[in-house]
This record gives sequence, C-alpha cells and structure tokens, in this order.
Amino acid sequence: MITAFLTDSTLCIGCKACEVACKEWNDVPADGYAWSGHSYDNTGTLGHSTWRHVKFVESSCTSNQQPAFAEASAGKPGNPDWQFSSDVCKHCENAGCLEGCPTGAIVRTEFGGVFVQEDVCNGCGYCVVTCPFGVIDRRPGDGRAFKCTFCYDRQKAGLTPACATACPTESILFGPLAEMQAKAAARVQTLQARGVVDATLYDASNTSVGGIHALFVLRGDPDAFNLPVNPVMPAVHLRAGWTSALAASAGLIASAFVALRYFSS
Amino acid sequence: MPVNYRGAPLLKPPVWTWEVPLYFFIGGLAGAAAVIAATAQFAGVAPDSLVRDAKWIAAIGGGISPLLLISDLGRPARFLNMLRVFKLRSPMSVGAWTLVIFSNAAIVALLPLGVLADVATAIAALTGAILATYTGVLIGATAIPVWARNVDVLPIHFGASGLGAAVSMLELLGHRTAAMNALGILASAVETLLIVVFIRRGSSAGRLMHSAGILSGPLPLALRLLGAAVTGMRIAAAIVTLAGSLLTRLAWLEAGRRSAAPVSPA
Repeated sequence: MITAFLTDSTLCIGCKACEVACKEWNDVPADGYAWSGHSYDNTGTLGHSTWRHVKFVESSCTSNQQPAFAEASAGKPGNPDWQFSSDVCKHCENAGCLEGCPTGAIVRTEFGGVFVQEDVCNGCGYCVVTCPFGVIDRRPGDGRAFKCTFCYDRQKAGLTPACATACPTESILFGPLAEMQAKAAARVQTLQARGVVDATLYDASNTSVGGIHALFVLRGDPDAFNLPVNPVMPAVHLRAGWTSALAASAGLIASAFVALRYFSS
Repeated sequence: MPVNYRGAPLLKPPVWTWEVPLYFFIGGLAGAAAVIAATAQFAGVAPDSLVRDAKWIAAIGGGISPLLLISDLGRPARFLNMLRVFKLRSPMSVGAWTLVIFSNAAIVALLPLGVLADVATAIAALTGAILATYTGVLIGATAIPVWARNVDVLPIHFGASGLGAAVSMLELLGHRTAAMNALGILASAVETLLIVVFIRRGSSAGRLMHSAGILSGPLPLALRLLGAAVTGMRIAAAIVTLAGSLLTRLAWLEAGRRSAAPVSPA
C-alpha cells in the first residue's frame, strides 16, 4: 500500500509532540540546546538529527501575505498571525537523494517512502546536495546521512508513524496516498468556504519532483514555510551536463591529437 | 529577497571538505595527462620522454585521487559500497567507476606489457577525458542554484582547467614544446571565454572565484601569446595555470556553499 502524510497547519497547535515522538521512537540523538530567538522555534531546521520540525510562522495581519486575517482584523494592526506547521521529509515521487546515491543505500520502500539503509550508506554526501528541500544531511561523528524513515519499521508492523500517532489534534494524518490527497483537497475547500481564502494545498505535483508523500495544508505563501513553490529534481540537469561533458571530452582528445600531430616539429 | 522562513536557508550546504576540490584538481590533471600520453604515443611524432612523463602524471594522479575521495567519506571503510551498483543516473556512481577504471589503466599503461599496455593507454585516455569533465556534471546536477545554473558549461570549464594543469605540469618537467604551448593557449582561451559567461550569469562573485579566473584565463593566455619563445614566461604561465586550476575547484565549492545559504539564519 502506498502511503502518505497529510500535515494540516491550520490544526497544528505547535506542541512539538511529533518532534519528541520521532526522536524517541527512532532513537535520534539530541542536537543541542540552542536558543534561536525566533518565536518558539529552537529546533531550527530539519537535519540529520531532526526528522520532524515544527515551524512557527509569524506575520503581522496587516501583511498582504494573509488576506483572510487582514480582512478579519482590519484596522487592528499589531495583532500577529501565528501559524504552526510540522515539516518532514517529502518522500518525493522523483527523489533527488535516491537517484544521486552512488551506493544504492537509498531505496524506495513498498510504502512509497524514501529510505536510507544505514548499513550501506558510506557518507559520500551527494544526497545532501541533491535534495531540493534541504532535508537530508550527514551526521558529524557518525559520518552517515540521516533523514525521516517514514517509520518504515512501524509501517512494516502495520503501525502508524510515531509522529502521526502522537499528534494530539490530528494535524498530522497518515494513510493511503489517494485518501490523503482527497482529504487534503476537501480540507482546503472547507477552509475556503469558511472564509480562509488563502488556504492552499502544497503537493509539488506539477513540478519535476512529480508529487510528494508528505502533503501540507497551509495558509498563504508556501515560501514563508520554506516550501519551494517550484522544487527542481536535480536529475533534470543530467542531459545538459553529460552533453557538455561528452563534448568537452571529445574536444580534449581531438585538440590533444591535433596539437601533438601538427605542432610537434 | 524572496519570502522565506525566519531567514533560514532552504537548502543544505555541501558537506564536502578540502579533499573533494583537491580531488577535482588532481583527477582533472591526471585525466588530461592520460589524454596527452595516448595522443602523443599514437600520433607518433612526440618524443618518448613526453609520453613517459605524461603517463607517470596520470598514474600518480590516479593513485592519489581515490585516497582523497575515500578520506572525504563519512565512512571511509565502506568505500567499496560505491562499487556494489552502477547507476547511470548518478554522476557520483559513474564517477566512482570511471576513477577505478582510470587508475588501474593508468598504472598498467606504464608497464612493459606490449599491446596490453597500449590498450591500457587508450582506456586511460578515454576514462581520463571523462574524469576531467564529469565533475562538472557531478556538481551541476544538484539542487545548489549556482551549480545547477551552470551545468551546461561546468564540464567544459573543468576539462579546460584539467588540460591547462596537465600541460603546465609537463612544461615544468621540461617539455616546453610548441604543441604544449598550443594546448596551453587553447585551455586559457576557453577559460577566458567562460569568465564572460559566468559574469553574464551572475555566477562570478567572490575573491576566490576572481583569483581563479584571472590565473586560469587571461594571465596565462597573455604570458603564452607574448612569451612563447621565452622560457621564463612559459614557466610563469605554467605556475599560474596550476594555481588557477586548483583555485577554480576551491572557488566552485565555496560558491556552492554560499549559494545554498544565501542569508544567515535570523
């Protein structure tokens, strides 16, 4: 069964239970006690030791990013708009990390997730630069690359991933991909009907990434959540790159031959 | 600046350290040297000493390159996992296999094995040309904006840089022939043209990139055109080209780091 997350930021209360559950279940090491000074977010970003990350997106309601709230609170500046959204590996349909991995350590599971086999990864670091979402990273000290496993072990056992299990508001839903897509579309419709006109679905479906297994319902501009509007699957550059490399190789051999044959007197 | 989350970079910067750009430099130098060795041998008009020295450069570079790549791995003991699959869609996989074949061929090419050594010489030249250029695909086919933006010219850039370095190394070993100068002029002319391309694309920022460009392109080009017959000028051109070739690889890694994290976290 192909599965997916549906993370609905309009239901998230920013409790970070998903972050904690993920760390505990997957035995992910601590990543320090840094104070970011940004809202209630001291986690920062997804990384080798952060596989769920709750973002605290603050904006003023007079901002044009949030038309619904701007309207509702017209004339009341200074009333902040606060959104929470739990970020996670997108488990791309066309995954840059998976295609770039030279060892075959990164594989597609039977659930449609993208999974790093930790007994195979040799820490070359290529997945780090081929992920268009900045998710996977190499863990210093350990040397291997880590990211969300889509709780492959739990899914194997018929369980829901730890983050979705822990979420107290059902902001993180988990289930069959088609069902999650339908729920996401219905949720956006419901929100818009209630006047939340900037509610949108983020699914990267019309990009070279070809869709994702972690859908997001959010309000406003996805860029404000560090969700790129047009993520690019790096393999789309292969044709141009290899054309250039083969042309350059041929040029190298031809020019060396000509020079050594005709300039050697 | 586009709206983003708390000024945090969207992408992760490359984790590669100095070993990788040094490998790009030495691999490019060795690969181009293998091309020169084979063409010199098969064109049949170059002195044997040039063929031999070029083969030695290729073999030594082919020996050092895997060590650099292995030491950059997070788990060096698992280097051989690179060879458990071959993935045409992964430039890292294609590169690992190319390097393994190149290193072995470059060493066999030096041995007194008759036809076998000739075959190895040809294989080293073919894989050497790929070795000198694939690194442009490797960094170009990524999510890092400044690399991806230049994926169509990076292989040419690195190939020309490798050719310039190989020629310069041979010149420093005493092979200051007209053929070497012609190849040096070609390499530095291509590098000069590419500077224009990178400036037009807004991909030429940084002191390191400026130094790399000047030392790879216009400076050696001028030295070679003006001083073809002057030994001092040839040697100066060779030295700046080698420095420029190494700086080029360091500059592109640095550019990638800055491109991944254009703003510092708030």
